[in-house]
Amino acid sequence: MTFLRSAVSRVVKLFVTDWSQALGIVVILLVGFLAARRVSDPAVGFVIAGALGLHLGLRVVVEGRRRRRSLLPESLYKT
Amino acid sequence: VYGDLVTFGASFLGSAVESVEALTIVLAVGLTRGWRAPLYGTVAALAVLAVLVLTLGGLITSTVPEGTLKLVIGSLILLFGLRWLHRAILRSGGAIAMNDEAAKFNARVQELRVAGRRAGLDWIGFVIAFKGVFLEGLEVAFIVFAVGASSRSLPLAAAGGLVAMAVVASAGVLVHRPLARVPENTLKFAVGLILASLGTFWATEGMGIRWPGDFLSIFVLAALFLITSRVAVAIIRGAPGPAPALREDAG
Repeated sequence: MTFLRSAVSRVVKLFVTDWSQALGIVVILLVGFLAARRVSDPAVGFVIAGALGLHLGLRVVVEGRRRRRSLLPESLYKT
Repeated sequence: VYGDLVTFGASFLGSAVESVEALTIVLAVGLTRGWRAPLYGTVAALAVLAVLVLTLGGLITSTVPEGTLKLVIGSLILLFGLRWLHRAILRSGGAIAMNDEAAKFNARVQELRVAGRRAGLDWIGFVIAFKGVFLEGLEVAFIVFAVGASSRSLPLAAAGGLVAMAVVASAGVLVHRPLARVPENTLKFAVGLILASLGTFWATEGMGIRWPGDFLSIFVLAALFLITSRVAVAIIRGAPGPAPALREDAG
């Protein structure tokens, strides 16, 4: 049972470790899907890719800066 | 040709990274408790994974329409690739620690030395090897299946995965130690980039979008994610914090 739970948890974690980040990606894809049904232009693909890149960049920078600050001794961070 | 190269390369690199982690577990068991049980466990896990990939892969690729398959599998590959890329950027930026296979190996060896043994097949060794190879192998199986199914080249993707496993296993047999010097984060960075690009390409193709230059657009997408990643690493490294680990210079 423990093994089964580990396997299921591992499968979920293949795709999602941060639910809000995954939700952001899904929303971008969903909006892209709706836009692609109305506008048949290759530019839609580039807009989706750009949005995904921007989403990745913003999320990872915010998390990275927060994590690096938390690695500092408190006194150094405050100064 | 480019499509085949990308399919084989993505499958090979992704499988190689995960195989290194599985090898660490099998080596720890084999070197502390003998080789018979962990080898049986490894073979059993690989057999279960092969059955999963072949049955599910065959069923899904033969029943699901191509557009839907590309949209669903492409989205999953995208989630998977961006997750790897996200972690690799954080490691390169010094925000989280690099993966240390040698430390993992030593911790596992300590655990196994404490565990008792009985006569006959060493079930503890079997179960640990089976579990380790199966769980690490799930990622390999997904990469092989997803890349193979979306590009309609399951045999080529499977070949990439098998060659990667063979290379890593041969290296493990030769050095008899965990492959701690493999630049794991660099590989994960590269695989994350490739999978994020492939996922974006296939998911959008599944939406009905036709890319200029067809498969060559993947290189444009890879460049976009690469630039984003490099900028993100530079910004994170510039934030107040300890000096980033220099063991690997990924991204």
